[in-house]
Amino acid sequence: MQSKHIRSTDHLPYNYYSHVHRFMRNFLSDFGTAIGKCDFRIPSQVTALEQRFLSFQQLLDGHAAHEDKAYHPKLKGKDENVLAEAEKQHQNLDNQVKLLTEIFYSAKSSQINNEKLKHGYEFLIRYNDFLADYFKHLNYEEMVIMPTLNRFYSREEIRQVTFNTYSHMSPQQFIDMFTRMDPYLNTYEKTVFLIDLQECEPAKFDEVLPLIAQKLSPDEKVLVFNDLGIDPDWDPKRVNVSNYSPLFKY
Amino acid sequence: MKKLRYNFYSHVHKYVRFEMFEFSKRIAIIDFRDKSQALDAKNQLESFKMLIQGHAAHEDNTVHQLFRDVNSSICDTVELAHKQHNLEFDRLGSLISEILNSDSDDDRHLTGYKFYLLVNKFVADSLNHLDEEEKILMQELQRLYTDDEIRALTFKTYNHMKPDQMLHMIRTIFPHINSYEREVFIQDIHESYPDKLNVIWPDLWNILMSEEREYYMKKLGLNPPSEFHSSLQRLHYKWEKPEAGAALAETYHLENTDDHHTQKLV
Repeated sequence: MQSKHIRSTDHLPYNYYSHVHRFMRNFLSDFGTAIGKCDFRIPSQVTALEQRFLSFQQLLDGHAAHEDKAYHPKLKGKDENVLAEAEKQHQNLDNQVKLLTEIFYSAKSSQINNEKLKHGYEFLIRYNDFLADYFKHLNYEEMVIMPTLNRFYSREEIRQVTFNTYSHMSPQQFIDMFTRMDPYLNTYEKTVFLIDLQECEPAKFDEVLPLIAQKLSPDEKVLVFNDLGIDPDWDPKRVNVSNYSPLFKY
Repeated sequence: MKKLRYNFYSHVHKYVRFEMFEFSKRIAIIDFRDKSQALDAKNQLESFKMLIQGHAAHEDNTVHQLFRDVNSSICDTVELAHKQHNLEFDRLGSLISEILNSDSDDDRHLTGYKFYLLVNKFVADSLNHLDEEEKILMQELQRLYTDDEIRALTFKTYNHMKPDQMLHMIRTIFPHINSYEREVFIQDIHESYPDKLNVIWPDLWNILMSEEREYYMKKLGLNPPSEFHSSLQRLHYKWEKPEAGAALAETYHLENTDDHHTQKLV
């Protein structure tokens, strides 16, 4: 299924933040909306929010750890100022999460309804402060770090970071990742994701394509398949995905 | 037990944040290489701009009057930020025009990405802005005025609203706020305009959860509605899109209570 034809994405700057950050922004803003709806006087609502808060922490930890391990080393010896700023922002965000945790459990453990409401409101306001900083951090990564990397490395060198990550992932994990991100990506982002997978892990690509193709709209399928060098009329067989194990726990 | 102070920003801002997030999500899935999708982004921007500018105008003209009445200039920086928002909307509008006038897929994609990042910068700045209003302005109002004096502003707004407009506002805000804020909301209407509450009660009944219905009947001395067929008009604000039809009616938007901002849903 691999093709050597010129793809619409080939001559555009490579950006490994863009699609993941679209998912992150959605996840974090949905959590903010959930906080707004929670009445901290009602234990069942607080317990439900706590589960989401734990998922939120897990997502942030995993995302930051991946960036620290996969992306930040590429900045070492290239632009130390940009690296230092990125790490400073991660530290600041970590500290804010610790503060949020304290406030959340103050609200949860309080025995007085008005105190629960007050701490709950403080949690909401602090979370929105955090979210503002987090959105700015994501923009910093996309507007400063990514162009810096593009300055020091070739497109193919940067793609190798993605390819290295994909080499450790199973087909089931790709399906899980795509399924989670799909609602938040435009056609271009989906195309880049699939081109990368097709190029670096062709066997895994062949395995996941039937399921992923089912998620594309007819118009989208034509565009994406053209870039993948696949006949858009190719009709994938229905696949059973009930036995795959999700990569992410949140 | 320490009394909770009255806060008229909190519930409205929850709705505004929700709409900001939705705007960001809608822009994220647009492939700017496709001109019809880029045009959709332009329409989304126009609607979002109307919401933000309408909300800012309400604050500048109505809420900030409370500061001006006591010669306080604390709201000046917030009003300046509202003006800054207009400049940011101009910048976003220029980028959209650039996209729509370009004949290159690559250029549309690159400028579209710039537009998307700028939208998210706007969201981040606005989150800070809304927090500033809640943390600084609201606290200052609470310092300057009693709760009843602050509530008088809410009551004044309700005075100008017809029952169908109140219902529209409730439909818009209630999905995004907690039960404590819903109670404050209903209590305000009950105390200021009980007749209007009676008119909207059958529709409100359908919006409330069963335990809330019981609670309000007992607390406010209301009875279960005898008729469940609504006699009220379905409205929309001018930043809402009537063509979105039923789906939109379920996600009604709020805030500006001026008559010219609410129209019948086509």
